[in-house]
Amino acid sequence: MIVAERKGLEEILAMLSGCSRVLVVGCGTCVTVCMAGGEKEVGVLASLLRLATGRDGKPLDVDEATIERQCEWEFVDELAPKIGLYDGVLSMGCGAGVQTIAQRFEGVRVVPALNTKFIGIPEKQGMWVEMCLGCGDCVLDRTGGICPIARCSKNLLNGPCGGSQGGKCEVSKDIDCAWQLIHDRLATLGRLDLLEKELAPKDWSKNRDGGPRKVVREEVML
Amino acid sequence: MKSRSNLERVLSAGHFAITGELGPPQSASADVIRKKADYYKGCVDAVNITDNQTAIVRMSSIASAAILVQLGLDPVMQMTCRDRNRIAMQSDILGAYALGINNILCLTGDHQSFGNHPTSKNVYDLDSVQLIRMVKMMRDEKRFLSGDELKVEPRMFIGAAENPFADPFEYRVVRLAKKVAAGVDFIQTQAVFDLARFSRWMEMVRDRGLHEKVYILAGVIPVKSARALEYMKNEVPGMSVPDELIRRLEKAGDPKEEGVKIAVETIQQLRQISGVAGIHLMPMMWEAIAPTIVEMAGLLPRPAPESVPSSGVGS
Amino acid sequence: MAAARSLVSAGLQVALVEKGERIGGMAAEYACKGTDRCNKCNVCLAHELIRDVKSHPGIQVLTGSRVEIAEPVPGGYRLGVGKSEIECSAVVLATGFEPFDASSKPEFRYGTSPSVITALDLERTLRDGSGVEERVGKPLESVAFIQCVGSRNTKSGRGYCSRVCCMYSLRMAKVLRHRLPAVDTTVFYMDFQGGGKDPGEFRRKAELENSIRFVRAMPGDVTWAPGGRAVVWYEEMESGVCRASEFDLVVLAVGTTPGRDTSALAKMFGMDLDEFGFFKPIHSFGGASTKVPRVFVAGACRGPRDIAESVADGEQAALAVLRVHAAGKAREELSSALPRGTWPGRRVTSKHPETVEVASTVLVLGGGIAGMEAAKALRDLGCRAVIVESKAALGGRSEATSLLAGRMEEDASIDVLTQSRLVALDGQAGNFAATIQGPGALTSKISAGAVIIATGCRREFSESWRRLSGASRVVGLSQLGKSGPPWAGSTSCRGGRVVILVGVRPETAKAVFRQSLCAALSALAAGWEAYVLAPEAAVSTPYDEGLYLEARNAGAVFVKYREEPEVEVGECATLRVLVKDPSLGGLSGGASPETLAIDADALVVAEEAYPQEDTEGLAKILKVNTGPVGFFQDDNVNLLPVLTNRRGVFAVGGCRGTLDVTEAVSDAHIAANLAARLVATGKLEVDWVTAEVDAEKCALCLTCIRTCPHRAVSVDAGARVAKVARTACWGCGVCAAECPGKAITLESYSDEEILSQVTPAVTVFCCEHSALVAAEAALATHQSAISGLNIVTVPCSGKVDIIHLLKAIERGADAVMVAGCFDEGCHYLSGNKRALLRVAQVASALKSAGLEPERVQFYHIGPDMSAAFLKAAQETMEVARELGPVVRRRVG
Repeated sequence: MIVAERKGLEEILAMLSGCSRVLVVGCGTCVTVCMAGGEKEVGVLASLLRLATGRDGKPLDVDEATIERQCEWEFVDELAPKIGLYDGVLSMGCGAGVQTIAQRFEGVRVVPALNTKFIGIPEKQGMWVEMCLGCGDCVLDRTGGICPIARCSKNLLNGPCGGSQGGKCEVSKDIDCAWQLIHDRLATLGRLDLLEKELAPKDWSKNRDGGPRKVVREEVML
Repeated sequence: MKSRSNLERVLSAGHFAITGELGPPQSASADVIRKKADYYKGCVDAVNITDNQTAIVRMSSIASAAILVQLGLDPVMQMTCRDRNRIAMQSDILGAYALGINNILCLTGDHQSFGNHPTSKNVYDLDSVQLIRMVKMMRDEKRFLSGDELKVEPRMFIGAAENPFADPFEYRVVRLAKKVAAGVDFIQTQAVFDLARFSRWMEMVRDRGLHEKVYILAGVIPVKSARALEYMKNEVPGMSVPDELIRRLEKAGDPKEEGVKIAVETIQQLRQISGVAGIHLMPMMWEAIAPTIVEMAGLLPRPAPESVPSSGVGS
Repeated sequence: MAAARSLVSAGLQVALVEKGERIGGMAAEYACKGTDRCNKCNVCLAHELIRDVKSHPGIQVLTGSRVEIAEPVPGGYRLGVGKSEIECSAVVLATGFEPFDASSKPEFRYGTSPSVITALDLERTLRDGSGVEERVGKPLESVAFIQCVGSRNTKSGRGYCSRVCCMYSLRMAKVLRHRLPAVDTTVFYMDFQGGGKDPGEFRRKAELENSIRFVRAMPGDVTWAPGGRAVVWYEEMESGVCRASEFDLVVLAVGTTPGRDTSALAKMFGMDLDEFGFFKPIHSFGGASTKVPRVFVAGACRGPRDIAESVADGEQAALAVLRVHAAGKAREELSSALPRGTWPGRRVTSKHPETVEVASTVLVLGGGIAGMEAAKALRDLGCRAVIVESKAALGGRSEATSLLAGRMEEDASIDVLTQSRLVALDGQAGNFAATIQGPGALTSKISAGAVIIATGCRREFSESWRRLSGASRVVGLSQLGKSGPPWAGSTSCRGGRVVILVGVRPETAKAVFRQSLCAALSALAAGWEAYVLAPEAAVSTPYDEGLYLEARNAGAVFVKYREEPEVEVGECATLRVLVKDPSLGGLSGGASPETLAIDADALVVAEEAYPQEDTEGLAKILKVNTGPVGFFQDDNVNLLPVLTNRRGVFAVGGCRGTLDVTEAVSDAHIAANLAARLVATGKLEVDWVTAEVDAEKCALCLTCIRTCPHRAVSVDAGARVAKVARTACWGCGVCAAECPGKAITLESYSDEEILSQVTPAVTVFCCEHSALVAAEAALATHQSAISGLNIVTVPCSGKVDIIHLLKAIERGADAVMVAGCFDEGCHYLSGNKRALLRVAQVASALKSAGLEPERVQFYHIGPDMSAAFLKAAQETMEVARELGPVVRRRVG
C-alpha cells in the first residue's frame, strides 16, 4: 500500500492562507489503512484547523468529507455538488489523490495535507517500512524476494557495500542491511549461488527516469 | 602492460608495492595538494586521491590527480558511484586519461547522509562492480557501456576496494570474486587492525585462487591516540578494532610513537601473509608520517619510475 | 459477595445476610493503594462486587440482620433472620475476620497518642484523603511499620501468620512515599510473606525505588522521646543488638483474628473450629465443604485471606453449592446467563439479546492435578471435557494423582488425549475450533466452547544451583517422594546431616517452604540432623506456622540467609554448604556475618518454578497474554484468579504463577464453573454491549484486530471486513477509538452520543470503573468545589477518541481531563495505556495549533479515591482559569 504521513499543521496553515472556507477531503483506501488520511484523521485535522485559526475569534470555516478513493474520477465526482462552496480544498489523499481532485475541478485550489512517502507495509502497529520503489523492472527473483533497489540505501545490485556491519546499514542502525537479509534468505533457500552472478547495470528507463510512466492495456479499454 | 601506470609496473615486476592516500582540500587551493604530495615523493609507488570522501565536498579527484601528474607522481583517481551517472563517469574517465591519469579506483561511495550535504540526491546509477566492468569495457573492448565504439581508449589500471571487516563475512570474498570477474586489476582493502580476521579472509581469497588474479594491497592506518582508534571502532561503519590495541595505545607513554610502531608491525605482519602484494597507507590528514613509516618498515628505496607518464598535458 | 454474585448468575436466588449496616465488609473500608500504577491491593474488587450485588435483582440483601436460628430441613436449611424466615438449599458462611485489637498489647501504646496508629486507621486515613500529616497533627519525617502485631505469637494463642500484613504494609508504605516523598520509611518484620504475582520484584522495587528500609526485628516497646516522637525499641534479629529509633508515626500492622460471631455460628450449625477459632473446612487447604452437609465456608472466616483469595474462595463455595444443585438435574435447567464476574465491566445491552449456539465441550490443556480437577468439575456441571496431555499418561507433577487419573480414563464425560498437543486454535468464545496433534503427528479437530490452560510449570534448580542437578547425594525437593529421601532406610544410629536449600524468590518460597518443613521433620524423625537455609520463613498459613514451630522444637536449624549459600562439592562427592549467617555476625558486634560451613550427607534443593518451555508458543496459538516471569495471565487484578485477556480461555494452576496444590485446585474449580456458565447449555444469550463494525466504512486496515485487548476481532473472510465476535467482545470500545475509518461504534457510546454530552465547560471523561465512582463520591461531598464540571462517562478511558478531546476544546471546554484506572489496573487491560498515548498526542497537536498542551490532562484515579478526583478536577479547572478561553476575543 501507499504510505503517507501528515504534514505539520504550520505548513498546512500556510498553504491555506487566504482561504476562508475549506473542505478537508479524506480517502478511504491506502491512507485510511496507514492512519494518515481516513475519516478520523480528517476529523482531527479539521478540529485542529478550527482551533488554530479560531484563537482570535474568527475560525476557519472547515467542512469534512471522506470518499472511497481519491484516485478515481467516479468517487471524486461525489464532491462535485458542494465543491463550489469552498475556496480551498485540503486533500488528505496521496499525491495521486490530490492531483485527481485538482484535475477534476479546474479552478479549485487543492493543496496536499500529506507527504506521500512510499509503497510499504506496516511492520508492526504504528510502524511502516518501505518495500518497493516501483522501478518498473523487478529483480526479486534474483535477490531472494528482498528488494535491493528499495531497501538498500544505495540500491546496489551486486552485494553489500563496505558499510554493512552486524546486519545494519551504514546510514543508520535502524535500517537493516538489505544485502545481509538477501544473503541470509538465499542461504536458507540454499541458493547462495545466485550471489555469485553479476547483475548488469539496471535499465532505469523503466523507472521514472524514463519520464512519467503510463500503463496501457488495450484489451481492457472500452 | 594494460596501462602506463607506475603502480602496475611495480606490481607486475613482483615488488611489494606501497600506495598512499591523499585527501584533497575543502577549497580551491592547489598548494595543499602540492604540499601533501611532497611527503609521498619517493616513498610510495602511487598516490590515491579520494573522491569527496565521507560525502564532504572537496576538490575533485580528477583535478587533484592531474596536479599530481604535474608533480611527477602516479595518481590513483578514486571514483564513487554516488555522485555521477554512467554518462558523467565515462566522460570523466576519458578526461582523466587525457590528463595523464593511469589508475582508477572504482568505489561505491559513502552515503551522502554522512557528509555536509545530507539533503542531496544520490545517483548510484551503477554499482562498483558494474563500474569496473564498464572501465574494462572501455579499455579492452574500446566500447562505451552503450556499445558504441570508442576510438582512443582510456588505458586505466583498474582498482577497487574491498572490506574484509564488513558483513556478511562469508560474502566478502564472493564479492571480491565478482569484482575480479568484472575485470579489476588491483584491490586496496579497508584498514587492517584485526589481523586474525584479515588472515581468515585471505585464506578464503587463496582458496578461490583470487590472489593470483588480482593484486591485493592491504590497508594500514597509523593512529595518533587511543581515542582516535576508539572512534574508528565505534563510529566508522565496517571497521574491526581489537580492544587490546586500544589498551596498548592507552598505556603508551607517547601514543603517537606507539601508533607508528603499531603501523610498522602491522605492515611487517601483512607482508608475511601469502597473497598480499602491497600496502595501502591511509594516514588520514597525517600524510607527514608516511616517509617515517615506509622507512621503518624497510620498504625504501622504492623502485624508480621508469619514465614519467607522458600522455596528456605536460607541465 | 463473590459467592452471591456467582450463584445468582447461575440462576439461583440468593439472600445475603449482613449484620452491619452496609455490605462490603472490611475490604470496603480500605484505601486504594494505587500510586502512579496499580499496586495490586485488590480493594477495587470489593467495590465492583458491591455494585454488582446491589444492582442484581436476584440477590436479596439483608443488612443489619443476623441468622439467629438455623434449622435443618429436608433439602436444606430454614434460617431465622430477625423476624423473618428464609428457606434455603445451602448456606455459605463468609463472615470474615476481626482485626486484632492493638490496645491489648499495651507495650505499643496504641490509643495514647496520634503517633501510634493501626494499619486499619491508616487505611481509613488514606481513603479519606484528608492527609496523614493532618491526622497525626504534625509533619512526618519518618514512619515505622511494625509487622506481626497480634500474629505469630503462640503465647497469646495466635501462633499463626496473618498472611496479608506484609503486602498491605508494603503497599501503604509505597503510597506514603508517593504522597510524601521525603518520608523515611522503615518496616520492622520477622519474615517477608509475599503475595500477588511477583512479590520479590515488588519488594525489590520498594527497597530500591521507594527507599523503604526493611529491618528484621520484632519491636518490644514503644516509648516517647522528648518532643513527642515515638521511640521504637527493638532487638535486631540478625545482630542481636538492641536499638531504639525515633519515628513521627508508628503503624501497627495488626493481624487477623476470628470474627466475633464465629463460635456462635459454629455452634448453631454444628461445625468445628480450628485451634485458633476459625471455621474448619473438611480439607484444611482446599475446598469449601465442611463436615456439615450444605454448609460451606469462604473467605477470612476460615483463616487469613487477602481480598483476591477471598473472592476466589467465594467462587469456589459457589461451585460447591452448584454441585449440590446440579446433582440430579438436567443441564438445561442451568441458566446460560453469564456471571458478571466472568469478566470485568460487563454492561447489558438495551437491544434484543442474541442467542448463540455454542459447543458445550471444554478443552482442558494439561492433565495434571489442576486439569483433572477442572475436568471433574466440568463433568459435574454438565459439560464434556477433553483433556489434552503431552505426556503418555495423566498425572502431572503432583503425587498421588494416579487414582484420579484412572477415574478420568473411565469417565464417559471426559475424553483423554495423551501424547497430544494443541497446534492451532481458531474461532472465538463459545465456538473454538482446536487442532490437536496426536501421536504419530496425526491431527484432529475439536469444537470447544471454552479452553482451560492447565499446563503447569517447570520445576528446576535455580540458576545458582543448577550445576548441582543430578549430582550425587543432591536431590530436588519435589523428587523426594518419587526417589525416596536419603534418610529413608538409614540404619546407623547417628544418622546423617541434611541441608535443605530454599531459593530467594518469595513466591516460590510460599509454595515450597511447607514441603521443606515436612522434609526436615521426616529427616529428624529418622535420626538425622536437618538444616533449612532460606531467606525467609514462608509460613503464611496457620498450618505452616505450626509445622515451623514443630520443626524448630524437633531440632531443625534454620538459617535465614541474605546472600545465597554456596555449595562445594569435594572429592568423593562430599558436600559442604557455606552460608553467611547474619545472626552469627552480631555475637562479636561486628557487621559482617560469620560463614557457617556445614558438611552435609545429603542436600535437598527446593526447585524454582518456571514457565513451561512452550509457554510463549502456546500463548501465541491461544492469543493470550503472558505476565510476570513469563507465566500465563496479565498482571491485572481484574483477571484474578483465572481469567485471561480472552473470553472463554482460562489459566489455572502452575501455568499462571507459582501456586501450591490447594490454589491450583481452587483455580480449577473456579475455571470449570466459569467455563460451564459459558457453554454448559449449548446456548449463550449475548445480552451485553459489544462493538459493531460498519461494513461500508471498514477499510480492513486491521487496526481493530491488532489493538483489541481481548482478541475478539477477526477478518470476516467472506465479506472482507473486520468482524467483532459478540461472544468474545468485552465492550470496552478501544477498537472504536482506534479505528482510522470511524467504522466501529459501541452501543450508547457513539461519537454522536459522546459529543452530545460535551458542553462549553471543563470536561472530564471518566472511566466508569474507576474515576466515575470517585467522581460521584466527590460530587456527593464537595459539589460546590467542582460545580460546573462536565462529567462524561465512558466504559473505559480507552474509549476516549482524540476527536472527542479536540471537539470538547473546540466547543469551549478550556481544559479537558481524561481519568482512568491505574497502570496495570485497567478493567480492559490496556485501555488506559491507549488513552494515555492519545492524551499525549492531543497535547502535542494542541501545541502545533498554538494552544497550550496543558489544556488536556490524564489522571490515574482509583474508584475510592474521591479526594484524588477532587484534586485532579480542581487542578484541571485551575488550568482552564489560568489559561483562559481558547478563543481570546470574539469578533463581531
